[in-house]
Amino acid sequence: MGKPFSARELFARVAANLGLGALRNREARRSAEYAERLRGLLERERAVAETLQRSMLPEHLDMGVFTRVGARYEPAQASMKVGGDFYDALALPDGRVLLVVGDVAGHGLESAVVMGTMRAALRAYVLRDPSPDRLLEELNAFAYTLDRPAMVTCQCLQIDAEGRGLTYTTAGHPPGLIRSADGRVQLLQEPGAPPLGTQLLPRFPLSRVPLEVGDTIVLYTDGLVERRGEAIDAGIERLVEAVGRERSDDAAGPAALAEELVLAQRPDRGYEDDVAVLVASLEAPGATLELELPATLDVLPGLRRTLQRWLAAQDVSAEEAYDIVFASHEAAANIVEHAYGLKDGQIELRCRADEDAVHVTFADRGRWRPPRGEGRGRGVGLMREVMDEVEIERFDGGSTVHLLRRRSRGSA
Amino acid sequence: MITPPRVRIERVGSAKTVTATLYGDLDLANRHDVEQALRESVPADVATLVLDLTHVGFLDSSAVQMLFELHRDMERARGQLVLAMSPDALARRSIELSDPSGLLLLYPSSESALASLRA
Repeated sequence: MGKPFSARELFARVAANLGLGALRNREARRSAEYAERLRGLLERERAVAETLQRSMLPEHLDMGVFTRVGARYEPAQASMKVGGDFYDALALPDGRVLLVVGDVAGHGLESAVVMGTMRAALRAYVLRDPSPDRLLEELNAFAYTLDRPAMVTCQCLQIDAEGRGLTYTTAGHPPGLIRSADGRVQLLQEPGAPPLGTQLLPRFPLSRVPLEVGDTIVLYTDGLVERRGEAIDAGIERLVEAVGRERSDDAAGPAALAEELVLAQRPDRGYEDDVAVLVASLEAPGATLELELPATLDVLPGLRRTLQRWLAAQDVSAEEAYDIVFASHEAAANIVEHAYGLKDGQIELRCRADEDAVHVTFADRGRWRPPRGEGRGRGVGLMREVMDEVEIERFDGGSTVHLLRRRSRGSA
Repeated sequence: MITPPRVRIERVGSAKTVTATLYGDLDLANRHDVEQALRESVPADVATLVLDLTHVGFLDSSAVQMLFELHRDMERARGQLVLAMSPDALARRSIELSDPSGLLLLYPSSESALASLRA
Protein backbone atom coordinates (compact mmCIF):
# COMPACT_ATOMS: atom_id res chain seq x y z
CA MET A 1 0.00 0.00 0.00
CA GLY A 2 1.35 3.36 -0.81
CA LYS A 3 1.70 6.18 1.45
CA PRO A 4 -1.59 7.97 1.84
CA PHE A 5 -1.71 11.49 0.37
CA SER A 6 -1.83 14.33 2.70
CA ALA A 7 -4.54 16.83 1.86
CA ARG A 8 -1.92 19.28 0.70
CA GLU A 9 -0.26 16.77 -1.50
CA LEU A 10 -3.55 15.77 -3.03
CA PHE A 11 -4.45 19.38 -3.68
CA ALA A 12 -1.06 20.01 -5.31
CA ARG A 13 -1.40 16.96 -7.54
CA VAL A 14 -4.90 17.83 -8.61
CA ALA A 15 -3.80 21.40 -9.28
CA ALA A 16 -0.84 20.16 -11.29
CA ASN A 17 -3.03 17.82 -13.27
CA LEU A 18 -5.56 20.53 -13.85
CA GLY A 19 -2.78 22.83 -14.97
CA LEU A 20 -1.42 20.20 -17.26
CA GLY A 21 -4.89 19.57 -18.58
CA ALA A 22 -5.38 23.26 -19.22
CA LEU A 23 -2.02 23.36 -20.94
CA ARG A 24 -2.99 20.35 -23.01
CA ASN A 25 -6.28 21.95 -23.82
CA ARG A 26 -4.53 25.12 -24.78
CA GLU A 27 -2.12 23.18 -26.93
CA ALA A 28 -4.87 21.18 -28.49
CA ARG A 29 -6.74 24.38 -29.19
CA ARG A 30 -3.62 25.94 -30.62
CA SER A 31 -2.83 23.03 -32.82
CA ALA A 32 -6.42 22.92 -33.96
CA GLU A 33 -6.17 26.63 -34.75
CA TYR A 34 -2.87 25.99 -36.44
CA ALA A 35 -4.33 23.17 -38.50
CA GLU A 36 -7.25 25.40 -39.33
CA ARG A 37 -4.93 28.18 -40.43
CA LEU A 38 -2.81 25.77 -42.42
CA ARG A 39 -5.91 24.41 -44.11
CA GLY A 40 -6.92 27.98 -44.83
CA LEU A 41 -3.51 28.76 -46.23
CA LEU A 42 -3.47 25.61 -48.33
CA GLU A 43 -6.99 26.35 -49.47
CA ARG A 44 -5.91 29.84 -50.36
CA GLU A 45 -2.88 28.60 -52.21
CA ARG A 46 -5.08 26.17 -54.04
CA ALA A 47 -7.49 28.97 -54.93
CA VAL A 48 -4.60 31.19 -56.04
CA ALA A 49 -3.04 28.35 -58.01
CA GLU A 50 -6.35 27.55 -59.62
CA THR A 51 -7.01 31.18 -60.50
CA LEU A 52 -3.48 31.53 -61.81
CA GLN A 53 -3.81 28.28 -63.73
CA ARG A 54 -7.08 29.39 -65.31
CA SER A 55 -5.84 32.89 -66.06
CA MET A 56 -2.83 31.51 -67.83
CA LEU A 57 -4.84 29.25 -70.06
CA PRO A 58 -6.08 30.93 -73.20
CA GLU A 59 -9.59 32.31 -72.86
CA HIS A 60 -10.26 32.42 -76.55
CA LEU A 61 -8.73 29.69 -78.59
CA ASP A 62 -7.43 30.76 -81.91
CA MET A 63 -8.76 28.68 -84.74
CA GLY A 64 -8.27 28.25 -88.39
CA VAL A 65 -11.10 29.03 -90.77
CA PHE A 66 -11.94 25.39 -91.26
CA THR A 67 -10.75 24.12 -87.89
CA ARG A 68 -12.93 24.53 -84.83
CA VAL A 69 -11.20 24.24 -81.48
CA GLY A 70 -12.51 23.83 -77.96
CA ALA A 71 -11.00 22.92 -74.60
CA ARG A 72 -11.88 22.01 -71.05
CA TYR A 73 -9.76 22.28 -67.92
CA GLU A 74 -10.74 20.71 -64.62
CA PRO A 75 -8.64 21.06 -61.46
CA ALA A 76 -8.07 17.98 -59.30
CA GLN A 77 -10.54 17.10 -56.55
CA ALA A 78 -7.82 16.58 -53.92
CA SER A 79 -7.04 19.91 -52.36
CA MET A 80 -3.47 20.62 -53.39
CA LYS A 81 -3.27 18.98 -56.77
CA VAL A 82 -3.87 22.10 -58.87
CA GLY A 83 -0.91 22.24 -61.15
CA GLY A 84 0.64 22.84 -64.46
CA ASP A 85 -1.58 21.49 -67.21
CA PHE A 86 -1.72 23.71 -70.27
CA TYR A 87 -3.02 23.81 -73.80
CA ASP A 88 -2.99 26.26 -76.65
CA ALA A 89 -4.22 26.60 -80.21
CA LEU A 90 -2.74 29.03 -82.69
CA ALA A 91 -3.81 29.77 -86.26
CA LEU A 92 -0.74 30.78 -88.24
CA PRO A 93 -1.16 33.46 -90.88
CA ASP A 94 -0.39 31.02 -93.69
CA GLY A 95 -3.35 28.82 -92.77
CA ARG A 96 -1.62 26.21 -90.60
CA VAL A 97 -3.02 25.51 -87.14
CA LEU A 98 -0.83 24.62 -84.18
CA LEU A 99 -2.18 22.61 -81.24
CA VAL A 100 -0.27 21.88 -78.08
CA VAL A 101 -1.03 20.28 -74.75
CA GLY A 102 1.41 19.87 -71.87
CA ASP A 103 1.80 19.06 -68.22
CA VAL A 104 4.40 20.54 -65.85
CA ALA A 105 5.49 17.99 -63.23
CA GLY A 106 4.50 18.78 -59.66
CA HIS A 107 1.56 20.71 -58.28
CA GLY A 108 0.69 23.98 -56.66
CA LEU A 109 1.66 27.53 -57.36
CA GLU A 110 5.12 26.76 -58.61
CA SER A 111 3.90 24.40 -61.34
CA ALA A 112 1.20 26.87 -62.33
CA VAL A 113 3.80 29.60 -62.71
CA VAL A 114 6.14 27.36 -64.73
CA MET A 115 3.16 26.42 -66.91
CA GLY A 116 2.43 30.09 -67.66
CA THR A 117 6.08 30.71 -68.47
CA MET A 118 6.26 27.73 -70.82
CA ARG A 119 3.12 28.79 -72.64
CA ALA A 120 4.42 32.34 -73.11
CA ALA A 121 7.74 30.94 -74.38
CA LEU A 122 5.88 28.69 -76.80
CA ARG A 123 3.97 31.64 -78.25
CA ALA A 124 7.23 33.51 -78.74
CA TYR A 125 8.99 30.56 -80.41
CA VAL A 126 6.05 30.06 -82.76
CA LEU A 127 6.93 33.38 -84.39
CA ARG A 128 10.37 32.02 -85.21
CA ASP A 129 9.63 28.52 -86.45
CA PRO A 130 6.26 26.87 -85.91
CA SER A 131 7.22 23.29 -86.77
CA PRO A 132 6.46 20.96 -83.83
CA ASP A 133 9.94 19.44 -83.63
CA ARG A 134 11.71 22.81 -83.63
CA LEU A 135 9.24 24.18 -81.08
CA LEU A 136 9.85 21.37 -78.62
CA GLU A 137 13.62 21.68 -79.14
CA GLU A 138 13.36 25.34 -78.16
CA LEU A 139 11.06 24.64 -75.22
CA ASN A 140 13.38 21.91 -74.01
CA ALA A 141 16.34 24.30 -74.03
CA PHE A 142 14.10 26.88 -72.34
CA ALA A 143 13.13 24.44 -69.57
CA TYR A 144 16.81 24.26 -68.63
CA THR A 145 17.10 28.03 -68.24
CA LEU A 146 14.50 28.22 -65.45
CA ASP A 147 15.78 28.74 -61.88
CA ARG A 148 14.56 25.31 -61.00
CA PRO A 149 14.66 23.05 -64.02
CA ALA A 150 11.14 22.04 -64.95
CA MET A 151 10.07 18.65 -66.22
CA VAL A 152 7.30 19.00 -68.74
CA THR A 153 5.50 16.44 -70.87
CA CYS A 154 4.06 17.73 -74.08
CA GLN A 155 2.47 16.82 -77.39
CA CYS A 156 2.66 19.35 -80.21
CA LEU A 157 0.84 19.08 -83.50
CA GLN A 158 0.50 21.13 -86.64
CA ILE A 159 -2.38 20.86 -89.11
CA ASP A 160 -1.21 21.86 -92.59
CA ALA A 161 -2.72 24.78 -94.48
CA GLU A 162 -4.73 22.56 -96.81
CA GLY A 163 -6.11 20.47 -93.93
CA ARG A 164 -4.89 17.28 -95.62
CA GLY A 165 -2.54 16.18 -92.89
CA LEU A 166 -0.80 16.92 -89.65
CA THR A 167 2.68 16.52 -88.24
CA TYR A 168 3.35 15.93 -84.59
CA THR A 169 5.98 15.17 -82.04
CA THR A 170 5.77 14.04 -78.44
CA ALA A 171 7.83 14.56 -75.28
CA GLY A 172 6.90 11.90 -72.73
CA HIS A 173 3.20 12.66 -73.10
CA PRO A 174 0.25 10.25 -73.48
CA PRO A 175 -0.83 9.87 -77.12
CA GLY A 176 -3.51 12.13 -78.58
CA LEU A 177 -6.05 10.62 -80.92
CA ILE A 178 -7.86 11.23 -84.18
CA ARG A 179 -11.40 10.09 -84.82
CA SER A 180 -12.44 9.96 -88.44
CA ALA A 181 -15.98 10.68 -89.64
CA ASP A 182 -16.78 6.94 -89.70
CA GLY A 183 -15.93 6.60 -85.99
CA ARG A 184 -12.53 4.94 -86.36
CA VAL A 185 -10.04 6.11 -83.74
CA GLN A 186 -6.27 6.10 -84.15
CA LEU A 187 -3.63 7.02 -81.60
CA LEU A 188 -0.85 9.54 -82.22
CA GLN A 189 1.68 7.20 -80.67
CA GLU A 190 4.78 7.22 -82.86
CA PRO A 191 7.87 7.22 -80.62
CA GLY A 192 8.88 10.64 -79.38
CA ALA A 193 11.42 12.06 -76.96
CA PRO A 194 11.62 12.04 -73.14
CA PRO A 195 9.87 14.86 -71.23
CA LEU A 196 11.23 18.37 -71.72
CA GLY A 197 13.87 19.28 -69.18
CA THR A 198 15.21 15.74 -68.73
CA GLN A 199 17.72 15.49 -71.57
CA LEU A 200 19.87 18.29 -72.95
CA LEU A 201 19.68 17.69 -76.68
CA PRO A 202 17.02 15.12 -77.49
CA ARG A 203 15.82 14.48 -81.04
CA PHE A 204 12.15 15.10 -81.60
CA PRO A 205 11.06 12.79 -84.41
CA LEU A 206 8.30 14.25 -86.57
CA SER A 207 5.48 11.95 -87.65
CA ARG A 208 2.90 12.65 -90.32
CA VAL A 209 -0.74 11.55 -90.43
CA PRO A 210 -3.21 12.26 -93.25
CA LEU A 211 -6.38 14.14 -92.35
CA GLU A 212 -9.83 14.46 -93.90
CA VAL A 213 -12.79 16.73 -93.48
CA GLY A 214 -14.80 15.45 -90.51
CA ASP A 215 -11.77 14.29 -88.53
CA THR A 216 -11.64 15.19 -84.86
CA ILE A 217 -8.37 15.49 -82.94
CA VAL A 218 -8.29 15.00 -79.16
CA LEU A 219 -5.28 15.98 -77.07
CA TYR A 220 -5.26 15.64 -73.27
CA THR A 221 -3.16 15.41 -70.12
CA ASP A 222 -2.61 12.20 -68.13
CA GLY A 223 -5.16 13.18 -65.46
CA LEU A 224 -7.88 12.18 -67.91
CA VAL A 225 -6.71 8.59 -68.24
CA GLU A 226 -4.75 7.75 -65.08
CA ARG A 227 -6.41 5.84 -62.22
CA ARG A 228 -4.76 4.72 -59.01
CA GLY A 229 -3.76 1.07 -59.16
CA GLU A 230 -4.29 0.74 -62.87
CA ALA A 231 -1.97 0.81 -65.89
CA ILE A 232 -2.28 3.97 -67.97
CA ASP A 233 -3.01 1.85 -71.06
CA ALA A 234 -6.35 0.80 -69.56
CA GLY A 235 -7.28 4.47 -69.20
CA ILE A 236 -6.23 5.23 -72.77
CA GLU A 237 -8.29 2.27 -73.94
CA ARG A 238 -11.31 3.69 -72.10
CA LEU A 239 -10.74 7.07 -73.71
CA VAL A 240 -10.50 5.54 -77.20
CA GLU A 241 -13.89 3.91 -76.61
CA ALA A 242 -15.41 7.13 -75.28
CA VAL A 243 -14.10 9.18 -78.21
CA GLY A 244 -15.51 6.64 -80.64
CA ARG A 245 -18.86 6.78 -78.87
CA GLU A 246 -19.43 10.48 -78.10
CA ARG A 247 -20.77 12.09 -81.23
CA SER A 248 -22.02 15.36 -79.85
CA ASP A 249 -19.29 17.42 -81.48
CA ASP A 250 -21.02 17.27 -84.82
CA ALA A 251 -23.66 19.70 -83.68
CA ALA A 252 -22.36 21.26 -80.49
CA GLY A 253 -18.74 21.66 -81.44
CA PRO A 254 -15.38 20.63 -80.01
CA ALA A 255 -15.85 22.42 -76.67
CA ALA A 256 -18.89 20.25 -75.98
CA LEU A 257 -16.97 17.11 -76.85
CA ALA A 258 -14.11 18.13 -74.55
CA GLU A 259 -16.61 18.62 -71.74
CA GLU A 260 -18.33 15.30 -72.41
CA LEU A 261 -15.04 13.43 -72.39
CA VAL A 262 -14.12 14.97 -69.03
CA LEU A 263 -17.52 13.89 -67.69
CA ALA A 264 -17.40 10.40 -69.20
CA GLN A 265 -13.91 9.66 -67.82
CA ARG A 266 -14.43 11.16 -64.35
CA PRO A 267 -13.95 8.60 -61.56
CA ASP A 268 -16.66 8.34 -58.86
CA ARG A 269 -14.60 10.29 -56.34
CA GLY A 270 -13.58 12.90 -58.89
CA TYR A 271 -10.24 13.45 -60.62
CA GLU A 272 -7.12 13.02 -58.49
CA ASP A 273 -5.05 15.10 -60.89
CA ASP A 274 -5.67 18.10 -63.13
CA VAL A 275 -7.28 17.37 -66.45
CA ALA A 276 -6.94 19.36 -69.65
CA VAL A 277 -8.57 18.32 -72.92
CA LEU A 278 -8.15 20.10 -76.25
CA VAL A 279 -10.36 19.13 -79.18
CA ALA A 280 -10.10 20.30 -82.79
CA SER A 281 -12.36 19.31 -85.65
CA LEU A 282 -11.93 19.77 -89.37
CA GLU A 283 -15.02 21.30 -90.85
CA ALA A 284 -16.20 21.09 -94.41
CA PRO A 285 -16.18 24.55 -95.98
CA GLY A 286 -19.74 25.78 -96.52
CA ALA A 287 -21.20 27.66 -99.51
CA THR A 288 -20.22 30.95 -97.91
CA LEU A 289 -16.99 32.14 -96.36
CA GLU A 290 -16.60 35.23 -94.21
CA LEU A 291 -13.30 36.50 -92.89
CA GLU A 292 -12.02 39.58 -91.17
CA LEU A 293 -8.26 39.99 -91.24
CA PRO A 294 -5.79 42.67 -90.25
CA ALA A 295 -4.72 44.64 -93.33
CA THR A 296 -1.11 43.51 -93.24
CA LEU A 297 1.15 41.83 -95.76
CA ASP A 298 1.63 38.72 -93.68
CA VAL A 299 -2.02 37.65 -93.90
CA LEU A 300 -1.93 37.38 -97.71
CA PRO A 301 -0.49 33.84 -97.97
CA GLY A 302 -3.06 32.51 -95.50
CA LEU A 303 -5.85 34.33 -97.31
CA ARG A 304 -4.85 32.66 -100.60
CA ARG A 305 -4.73 29.19 -99.03
CA THR A 306 -8.04 29.65 -97.26
CA LEU A 307 -9.69 30.76 -100.50
CA GLN A 308 -8.10 27.89 -102.38
CA ARG A 309 -9.44 25.40 -99.86
CA TRP A 310 -12.89 26.97 -99.96
CA LEU A 311 -12.94 27.01 -103.78
CA ALA A 312 -11.89 23.36 -103.98
CA ALA A 313 -14.90 22.51 -101.78
CA GLN A 314 -17.17 24.43 -104.20
CA ASP A 315 -16.07 22.18 -107.09
CA VAL A 316 -14.22 24.96 -108.84
CA SER A 317 -11.48 23.62 -111.13
CA ALA A 318 -7.85 24.25 -110.18
CA GLU A 319 -7.40 26.62 -113.16
CA GLU A 320 -10.45 28.70 -112.31
CA ALA A 321 -9.46 28.68 -108.66
CA TYR A 322 -6.02 30.09 -109.54
CA ASP A 323 -7.66 32.99 -111.40
CA ILE A 324 -10.07 33.74 -108.56
CA VAL A 325 -7.30 33.51 -105.96
CA PHE A 326 -5.09 35.73 -108.11
CA ALA A 327 -7.75 38.45 -108.48
CA SER A 328 -8.66 38.23 -104.79
CA HIS A 329 -5.03 38.50 -103.76
CA GLU A 330 -4.63 41.62 -105.89
CA ALA A 331 -7.72 43.18 -104.31
CA ALA A 332 -6.47 42.36 -100.80
CA ALA A 333 -2.94 43.57 -101.60
CA ASN A 334 -4.44 46.89 -102.79
CA ILE A 335 -6.20 47.29 -99.44
CA VAL A 336 -2.97 46.51 -97.56
CA GLU A 337 -0.99 48.99 -99.64
CA HIS A 338 -3.41 51.84 -100.18
CA ALA A 339 -6.39 51.83 -97.83
CA TYR A 340 -5.04 52.60 -94.40
CA GLY A 341 -1.67 54.27 -94.71
CA LEU A 342 0.13 53.83 -91.41
CA LYS A 343 -3.07 53.21 -89.50
CA ASP A 344 -4.17 49.72 -88.49
CA GLY A 345 -7.11 48.46 -90.46
CA GLN A 346 -9.12 45.45 -91.44
CA ILE A 347 -9.84 43.52 -94.60
CA GLU A 348 -13.34 42.13 -94.71
CA LEU A 349 -13.99 39.27 -97.09
CA ARG A 350 -17.26 37.63 -98.04
CA CYS A 351 -17.44 34.79 -100.53
CA ARG A 352 -20.47 33.02 -101.89
CA ALA A 353 -20.81 30.26 -104.44
CA ASP A 354 -24.02 29.30 -106.23
CA GLU A 355 -24.80 27.22 -109.30
CA ASP A 356 -23.86 29.96 -111.72
CA ALA A 357 -21.01 31.88 -110.20
CA VAL A 358 -18.52 32.53 -107.46
CA HIS A 359 -18.78 35.93 -105.77
CA VAL A 360 -15.93 37.46 -103.79
CA THR A 361 -16.42 40.79 -102.02
CA PHE A 362 -13.74 42.76 -100.23
CA ALA A 363 -14.50 45.71 -98.00
CA ASP A 364 -12.32 48.12 -96.07
CA ARG A 365 -12.88 51.23 -93.98
CA GLY A 366 -9.82 53.08 -95.13
CA ARG A 367 -9.18 56.37 -96.86
CA TRP A 368 -7.77 55.59 -100.23
CA ARG A 369 -4.56 57.16 -101.28
CA PRO A 370 -3.63 57.20 -104.97
CA PRO A 371 -1.27 54.42 -106.00
CA ARG A 372 2.32 55.53 -106.28
CA GLY A 373 5.26 54.25 -108.24
CA GLU A 374 5.78 52.29 -111.38
CA GLY A 375 3.40 49.45 -112.09
CA ARG A 376 1.19 50.23 -109.09
CA GLY A 377 -2.49 49.88 -109.65
CA ARG A 378 -1.96 47.40 -112.49
CA GLY A 379 -3.67 44.85 -110.27
CA VAL A 380 -7.11 46.17 -111.18
CA GLY A 381 -6.52 45.65 -114.90
CA LEU A 382 -5.43 42.08 -114.22
CA MET A 383 -8.49 41.49 -112.03
CA ARG A 384 -10.69 42.49 -114.95
CA GLU A 385 -8.86 40.04 -117.18
CA VAL A 386 -9.42 36.99 -115.00
CA MET A 387 -12.90 37.78 -113.62
CA ASP A 388 -16.19 38.22 -115.44
CA GLU A 389 -17.21 41.22 -113.37
CA VAL A 390 -15.21 43.66 -111.27
CA GLU A 391 -17.05 46.43 -109.46
CA ILE A 392 -15.13 48.89 -107.35
CA GLU A 393 -16.87 51.41 -105.14
CA ARG A 394 -14.99 53.98 -103.18
CA PHE A 395 -16.81 56.14 -100.70
CA ASP A 396 -15.99 58.34 -97.74
CA GLY A 397 -15.66 55.66 -95.14
CA GLY A 398 -13.94 52.98 -97.23
CA SER A 399 -14.41 50.90 -100.33
CA THR A 400 -15.75 47.63 -101.64
CA VAL A 401 -14.52 45.45 -104.46
CA HIS A 402 -16.90 42.90 -105.86
CA LEU A 403 -15.48 40.13 -108.02
CA LEU A 404 -17.61 37.65 -109.95
CA ARG A 405 -16.53 34.63 -111.88
CA ARG A 406 -19.14 32.65 -113.81
CA ARG A 407 -18.77 28.91 -113.58
CA SER A 408 -17.57 27.36 -116.81
CA ARG A 409 -19.95 24.92 -118.46
CA GLY A 410 -19.17 21.30 -117.84
CA SER A 411 -17.75 21.87 -114.40
CA ALA A 412 -19.89 20.57 -111.57
CA MET B 1 4.67 36.03 -89.88
CA ILE B 2 5.99 36.62 -93.36
CA THR B 3 7.05 33.53 -95.25
CA PRO B 4 10.78 33.89 -95.70
CA PRO B 5 11.78 33.68 -99.34
CA ARG B 6 13.86 30.69 -100.10
CA VAL B 7 16.42 31.20 -102.79
CA ARG B 8 19.17 28.79 -103.77
CA ILE B 9 21.80 30.09 -106.13
CA GLU B 10 24.38 28.02 -108.02
CA ARG B 11 26.76 28.53 -110.84
CA VAL B 12 26.45 25.98 -113.58
CA GLY B 13 28.99 25.12 -116.26
CA SER B 14 30.69 28.37 -117.07
CA ALA B 15 30.92 31.14 -114.53
CA LYS B 16 28.86 33.23 -116.93
CA THR B 17 25.68 31.32 -116.19
CA VAL B 18 23.97 31.29 -112.83
CA THR B 19 20.87 29.35 -111.84
CA ALA B 20 18.74 30.65 -109.00
CA THR B 21 15.99 28.40 -107.73
CA LEU B 22 13.05 29.95 -105.88
CA TYR B 23 10.70 28.11 -103.55
CA GLY B 24 7.23 28.94 -102.24
CA ASP B 25 4.91 31.77 -103.21
CA LEU B 26 6.22 35.05 -104.59
CA ASP B 27 4.14 38.06 -103.63
CA LEU B 28 4.14 41.56 -102.27
CA ALA B 29 5.12 40.23 -98.86
CA ASN B 30 8.48 38.83 -99.97
CA ARG B 31 9.29 40.19 -103.43
CA HIS B 32 11.69 42.82 -102.08
CA ASP B 33 13.62 40.25 -100.06
CA VAL B 34 13.76 37.88 -103.02
CA GLU B 35 14.91 40.64 -105.34
CA GLN B 36 17.57 41.76 -102.91
CA ALA B 37 18.84 38.21 -102.43
CA LEU B 38 19.07 37.79 -106.20
CA ARG B 39 20.78 41.10 -106.87
CA GLU B 40 23.28 40.57 -104.06
CA SER B 41 24.30 37.08 -105.00
CA VAL B 42 24.38 37.27 -108.77
CA PRO B 43 27.76 38.66 -109.86
CA ALA B 44 27.78 41.67 -112.18
CA ASP B 45 29.58 39.84 -115.00
CA VAL B 46 27.01 37.07 -115.31
CA ALA B 47 25.74 36.73 -118.87
CA THR B 48 22.73 34.53 -118.20
CA LEU B 49 20.54 34.28 -115.15
CA VAL B 50 18.32 31.22 -115.18
CA LEU B 51 15.51 31.73 -112.69
CA ASP B 52 14.08 28.34 -111.83
CA LEU B 53 10.43 28.88 -110.88
CA THR B 54 9.39 25.22 -111.08
CA HIS B 55 8.91 25.18 -107.27
CA VAL B 56 6.89 28.38 -107.16
CA GLY B 57 3.15 27.92 -106.67
CA PHE B 58 1.93 31.48 -106.96
CA LEU B 59 3.10 34.80 -108.40
CA ASP B 60 1.25 38.05 -107.88
CA SER B 61 1.47 41.14 -110.08
CA SER B 62 4.24 42.66 -107.97
CA ALA B 63 6.34 39.50 -108.37
CA VAL B 64 5.83 39.55 -112.13
CA GLN B 65 6.80 43.23 -112.02
CA MET B 66 10.02 42.17 -110.33
CA LEU B 67 10.70 39.71 -113.16
CA PHE B 68 10.26 42.51 -115.70
CA GLU B 69 12.68 44.71 -113.78
CA LEU B 70 15.27 41.94 -113.58
CA HIS B 71 14.81 41.30 -117.29
CA ARG B 72 15.36 44.98 -118.08
CA ASP B 73 18.45 45.23 -115.87
CA MET B 74 20.01 42.04 -117.29
CA GLU B 75 19.54 43.39 -120.81
CA ARG B 76 21.11 46.72 -119.85
CA ALA B 77 24.11 44.77 -118.59
CA ARG B 78 24.21 42.87 -121.92
CA GLY B 79 23.02 39.69 -120.29
CA GLN B 80 19.73 37.86 -120.34
CA LEU B 81 17.14 36.53 -117.95
CA VAL B 82 15.66 33.11 -118.65
CA LEU B 83 12.77 31.61 -116.70
CA ALA B 84 12.05 27.94 -116.09
CA MET B 85 8.51 26.88 -115.32
CA SER B 86 6.66 23.65 -115.99
CA PRO B 87 4.20 24.02 -118.91
CA ASP B 88 1.28 22.86 -116.78
CA ALA B 89 2.17 24.98 -113.74
CA LEU B 90 -0.81 27.09 -112.66
CA ALA B 91 1.47 29.99 -111.72
CA ARG B 92 2.37 30.35 -115.42
CA ARG B 93 -0.96 32.08 -115.74
CA SER B 94 0.34 35.08 -113.75
CA ILE B 95 3.19 35.60 -116.19
CA GLU B 96 1.08 35.05 -119.30
CA LEU B 97 -1.50 37.58 -118.08
CA SER B 98 1.09 40.33 -117.63
CA ASP B 99 3.23 39.43 -120.59
CA PRO B 100 0.98 38.71 -123.57
CA SER B 101 3.77 39.54 -126.05
CA GLY B 102 6.16 37.00 -124.52
CA LEU B 103 8.95 39.35 -123.51
CA LEU B 104 10.06 36.97 -120.79
CA LEU B 105 11.72 33.76 -122.02
CA LEU B 106 9.99 30.73 -120.54
CA TYR B 107 11.41 27.20 -120.66
CA PRO B 108 9.75 24.09 -119.20
CA SER B 109 12.72 23.38 -116.89
CA SER B 110 16.10 24.81 -115.95
CA GLU B 111 17.78 21.86 -117.72
CA SER B 112 16.04 22.60 -120.99
CA ALA B 113 16.84 26.31 -120.58
CA LEU B 114 20.53 25.52 -120.09
CA ALA B 115 20.55 23.04 -122.99
CA SER B 116 19.06 25.58 -125.36
CA LEU B 117 21.56 28.21 -124.22
CA ARG B 118 24.44 25.84 -125.04
CA ALA B 119 23.02 24.98 -128.45
